[in-house]
Amino acid sequence: MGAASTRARSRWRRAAAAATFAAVVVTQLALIVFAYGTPKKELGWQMFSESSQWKADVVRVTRDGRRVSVSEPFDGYWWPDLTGPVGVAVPWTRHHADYGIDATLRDLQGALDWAASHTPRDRATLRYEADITYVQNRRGPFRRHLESATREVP
Amino acid sequence: MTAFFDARGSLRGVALLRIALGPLVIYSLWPYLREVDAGTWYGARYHAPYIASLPTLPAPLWHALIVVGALAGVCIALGLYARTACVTAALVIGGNMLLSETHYHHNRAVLTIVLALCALCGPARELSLDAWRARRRGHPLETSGLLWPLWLLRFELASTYLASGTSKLLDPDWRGGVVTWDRVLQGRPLMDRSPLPTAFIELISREDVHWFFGKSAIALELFVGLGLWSRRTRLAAVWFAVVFHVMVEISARVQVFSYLCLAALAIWVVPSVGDRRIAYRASAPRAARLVALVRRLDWLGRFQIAPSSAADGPALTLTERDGTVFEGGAALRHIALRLPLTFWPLALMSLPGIAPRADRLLARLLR
Repeated sequence: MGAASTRARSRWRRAAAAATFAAVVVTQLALIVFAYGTPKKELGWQMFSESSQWKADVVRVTRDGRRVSVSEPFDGYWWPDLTGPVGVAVPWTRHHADYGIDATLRDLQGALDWAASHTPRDRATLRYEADITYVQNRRGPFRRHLESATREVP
Repeated sequence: MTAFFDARGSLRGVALLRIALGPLVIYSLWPYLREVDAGTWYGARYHAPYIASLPTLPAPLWHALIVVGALAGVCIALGLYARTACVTAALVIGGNMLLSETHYHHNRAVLTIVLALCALCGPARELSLDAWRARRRGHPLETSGLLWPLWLLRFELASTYLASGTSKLLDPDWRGGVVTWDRVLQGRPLMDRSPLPTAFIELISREDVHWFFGKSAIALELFVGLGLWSRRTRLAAVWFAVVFHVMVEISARVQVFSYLCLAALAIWVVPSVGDRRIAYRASAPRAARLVALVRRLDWLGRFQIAPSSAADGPALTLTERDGTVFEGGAALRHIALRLPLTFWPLALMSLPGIAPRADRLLARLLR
């Protein structure tokens, strides 16, 4: 009970404690600095970095040149099922850009590529395209176009 | 330096945090538990592992890991094999984030780090089934522990406020209030349907208000991150941290973040127990009842409580750790300031000019 006390410990235990302490502090500080260069600011604790909003028209470009919205199910697939419970699952409604626009665009590009390479029953789609409209901290609207890699369709 | 790494003290605050971590682990894993229940799996949808060579886990294995993580949450709350449970939960939540960038959220990352450092502290020394079992076996656990892991935990938690505040300070949109103004305007339709007074909604929708509010929010975050380190400013920093997290919880979806940070405020208490003494006159029934309540609310073990043998004199006396003595209403106010559930309103009652009136009001409770 009462105030903190000290008790002598072996030299190696103390050295291990000092090494752990220093490693955690230095790693955390490095991650905070490094996070300024990454889209999602992992372990950099940059909370609520933007108020940006976005929406996108995501389409399948088929072999016959049609552009079909991914909001329609196709060949047993559906975009929200392919992308799951993340911000890009329902791109046709306006969303807050969690972790900022850069992270959102990166996620959306990843989702386009993933869908292109994980839908083997779909024999019609050549590629996925997204036309994104976003407002970044009240500036804009800006527009971006993203495309998946072109699929090998038999 | 040697003394720093050898220093020991009470880790009661960590034990209190550990109890809160259990439900937070389950809350954090809840979306994935629902997937387990529905039979769905992250591998069947877009995912992007942080390490390219990480394989996509088979559904049964991933489901098992999520369930193990949730069970670890239960063990953490109960303090049953608490250290192992903390490490397990940290590995499951942290590992799940490594499996896909889409699983990453700052609040989950903070939770993972807190769990790992909590394990390092030795989270089961008090308020745990582990401690109860050890007592029953006749080998009670030592309640004091090494303090350097606690300092590491404090560093990590303070760094979230400081890094976040600094990033906003460096961002002209945050400094200028654009980000908060835009968020309020986005939430305006919701506010218009709420019972909030129209004048208030109009006020917080004004750009010039956010020019001031943006800077205030940054200053608040930085003050919390810095103020927690000094005993002189700690109480104010904790008070403002509560305000900050309540504001965040109301205005944004942050999963476990607010609850985690509020629970983690417990680790900022001085790591010693029973270093304040409460004496109450046994013949004063109201004082005896209040002291019984204090016993139940003294989760951080800050008081030694004993009845006073004196037949008359003050109904309640508090002797602070520096020897300062408070009596009657002032004693009650200072006691309530040290209890987690009552400190927040009592801090307001301790402002200069208000404290004497508060003491007179509280003294009535002792009569």
